Amino acid sequence: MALHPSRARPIEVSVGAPWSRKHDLPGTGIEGARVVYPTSLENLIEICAQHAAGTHLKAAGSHWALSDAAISDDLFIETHDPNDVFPAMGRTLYEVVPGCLNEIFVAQMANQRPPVFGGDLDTSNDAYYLVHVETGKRVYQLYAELDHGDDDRRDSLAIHLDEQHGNSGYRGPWAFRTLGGAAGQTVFGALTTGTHGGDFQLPPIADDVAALHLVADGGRHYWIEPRIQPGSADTQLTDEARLRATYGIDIYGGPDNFDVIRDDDLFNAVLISAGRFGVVYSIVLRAVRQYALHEQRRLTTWEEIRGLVGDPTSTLYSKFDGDPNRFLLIALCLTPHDNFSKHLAGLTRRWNSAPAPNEDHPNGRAERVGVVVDAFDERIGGPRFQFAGNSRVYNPDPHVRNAAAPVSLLESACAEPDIIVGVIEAIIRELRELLEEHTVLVLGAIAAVAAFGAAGALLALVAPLLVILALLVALLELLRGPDGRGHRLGEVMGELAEQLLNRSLPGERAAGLFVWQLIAYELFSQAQKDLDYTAISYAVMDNHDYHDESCNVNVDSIEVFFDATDPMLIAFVDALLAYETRQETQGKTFVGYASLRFTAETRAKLGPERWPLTCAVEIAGLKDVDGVTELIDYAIALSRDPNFAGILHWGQRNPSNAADIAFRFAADGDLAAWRAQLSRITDGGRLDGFSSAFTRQTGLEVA
Amino acid sequence: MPEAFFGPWSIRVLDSHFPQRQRFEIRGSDGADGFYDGTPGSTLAVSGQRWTLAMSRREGGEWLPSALRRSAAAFTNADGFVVTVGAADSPPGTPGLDYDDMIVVLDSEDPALDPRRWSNPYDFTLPQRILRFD
Repeated sequence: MALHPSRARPIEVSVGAPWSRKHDLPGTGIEGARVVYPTSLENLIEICAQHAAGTHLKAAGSHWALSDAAISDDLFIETHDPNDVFPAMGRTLYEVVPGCLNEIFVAQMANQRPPVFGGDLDTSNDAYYLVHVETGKRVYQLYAELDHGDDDRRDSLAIHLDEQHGNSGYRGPWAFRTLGGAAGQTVFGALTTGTHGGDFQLPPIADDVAALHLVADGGRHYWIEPRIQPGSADTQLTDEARLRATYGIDIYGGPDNFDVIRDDDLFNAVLISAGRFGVVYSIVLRAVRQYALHEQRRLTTWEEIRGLVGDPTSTLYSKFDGDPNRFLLIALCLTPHDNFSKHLAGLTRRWNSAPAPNEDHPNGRAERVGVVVDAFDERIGGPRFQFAGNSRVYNPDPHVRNAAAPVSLLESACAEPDIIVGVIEAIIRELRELLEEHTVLVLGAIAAVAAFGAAGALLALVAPLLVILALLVALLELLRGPDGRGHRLGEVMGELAEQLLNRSLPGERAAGLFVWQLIAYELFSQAQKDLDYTAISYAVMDNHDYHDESCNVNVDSIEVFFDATDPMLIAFVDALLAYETRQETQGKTFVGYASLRFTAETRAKLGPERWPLTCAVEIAGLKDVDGVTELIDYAIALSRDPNFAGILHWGQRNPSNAADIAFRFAADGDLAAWRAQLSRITDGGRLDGFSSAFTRQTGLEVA
Repeated sequence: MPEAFFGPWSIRVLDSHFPQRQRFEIRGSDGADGFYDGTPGSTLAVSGQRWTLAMSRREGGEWLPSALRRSAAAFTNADGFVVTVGAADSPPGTPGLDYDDMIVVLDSEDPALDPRRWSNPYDFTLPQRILRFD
């Protein structure tokens, strides 16, 4: 296909530099990778039309995925260079929204009165805004832009609705309806792998996509919408003639190279598809009025709540006073306490709340987004905000109402392993009290990890515990000294586990395990201690520390999806807890994060959120520690077993094969429908440029 | 609706709360297909790539299929991977069913899933008298 001479920036190409993912060990990666950096629709069409015959392509964004779904056989198409050297394909577009919107659809929007940020908390008002973005835009960039609003863009939908329809209600800040726990991924990278929040009555982010613009192998491009939009009766989103006038032009290959398709089956197939259909150039996303969330966290045990998980009417899914709650996260400590009988669980709930202290200065905005420091940064294709993607987790100050606390030891735990120092100090104090004064504080870690009974078997371990105490004191000195700096948290925890759990003498082995349980209990209790605060939506939902250079390298992680009402979910969690108990007695351990989050069903055919109440079990650990990979391997084996039939997240480690996928996504149902749509876009599979080792392994192919 | 299982399991009828006879049926197994008595205490070993468990009850001189539900699943180091299936004498989806007409417990015998019967050699107990409350 001959393309009309382009005004677009030439495509940057890099050959030879290792291609690696964010969580890979530094210095590792795919050697000799061929990478292109498009910045426009023209670039994408050119790449897809003119790649060498027989070569395969794959789009990548922030490199946050741990999955091989992101790996290309041959050529990587970077929508957002993770090294920030080449410009991203990350602009917010105004040519379709509002330029190509269907007039009737716009009129329907104009008849609505969106809620006001800081106004009443009527969550039944579902008026939404539309934003059209290139797919290389990162989530934190978009939530910052949405919060900034479109008031200062003359060509925006908000101004159009105000000036042409007399409705000023679309001015002001907007927000994602729901978010995952981090926002460093590209918007499309996150949603196309099924990324979700913990809002159990809301489907994942993918379900807020209103339209998408796909460039397929061969360079043909498609504007794809569902037949109708939510709440719009029978009205289509866009005006086809205007779309064709915008995209069916010579620089994009002409009118015969562009299709507009309104088809739920195709739309639902492309939404979550591991990049198999091609490169999605842009998406139109529904945004909701900006809102504030109250977050409440309480410490409990898995054993107390496991019987409630499968019952959506249970108190687990409401606030402690019984009022409605929108979010549920259960963080789990896999290491047991109470003489191996219990496991700590941090229970986080969220609900919509009035912003505090007022709508002009909601908590978290200054800390997580900040002011615009560059009105248009070429490298990100939009305004650069002071702290978007450049800040630590929002941390409320418990002593000053509506204020952020300064960076604490807890927050910097991953930047430097200082938190370990504090925990070891506390454990040393408790051990000394036990060994020297023969007393145990009732609210301390020892009282929690041990059980109290007639046997008192731990008293027989006084001598080995003295050995372990000396070891801890020596380790503390090391960590405090000059040699203790510059290590990753995983390295420190790995060394600690090795010294405590791998003792050759039986008594010391028991004492080391006991002290390891003390440390795990104390660490988890601090990380999941009681919390109550209110802040702007993204400051609550985005829990990622963008300054972290320790916890997020050399990470292994999976996420497994279950029907939350299926008791097999409980058995799966129980099995992980049992495995960890066993492996800790055998010198290995898991250091990381395990949690359950809940979400509603997605419309995407290959979305892992397949049930009205879906539970996602996430397990992420530091590979430096012996036992992390083993536990995750075991979790994968369980989830792939058809008795459990868990669905592995497309964006995390996912060794599923074609039989696994066919079993979970109904080879004669959703998967068959997905394949039919792939066949439609790829000419029966002939255009296989976006096939990859991963899609072949998982059967995401036409046949 | 029968419940599907995969691999080797042992089945035990745990309890029964139905005045008439009951039975369970295995299909698709490696050599254990058939009907089995639903009296508490009945046991059976079943294996096969994919096999199904159904339950039925004697009513009005006929065998009628019972509604089934996995009522619980658990995994402990002491007992391994255990699934409990209950039967009710009404069509599936009928509200308020208690699924206790026949209760069957299935123990996984797959060593890959269930490295079972592990007993913990450690005892982390302390005497009550050393607790300090201040």
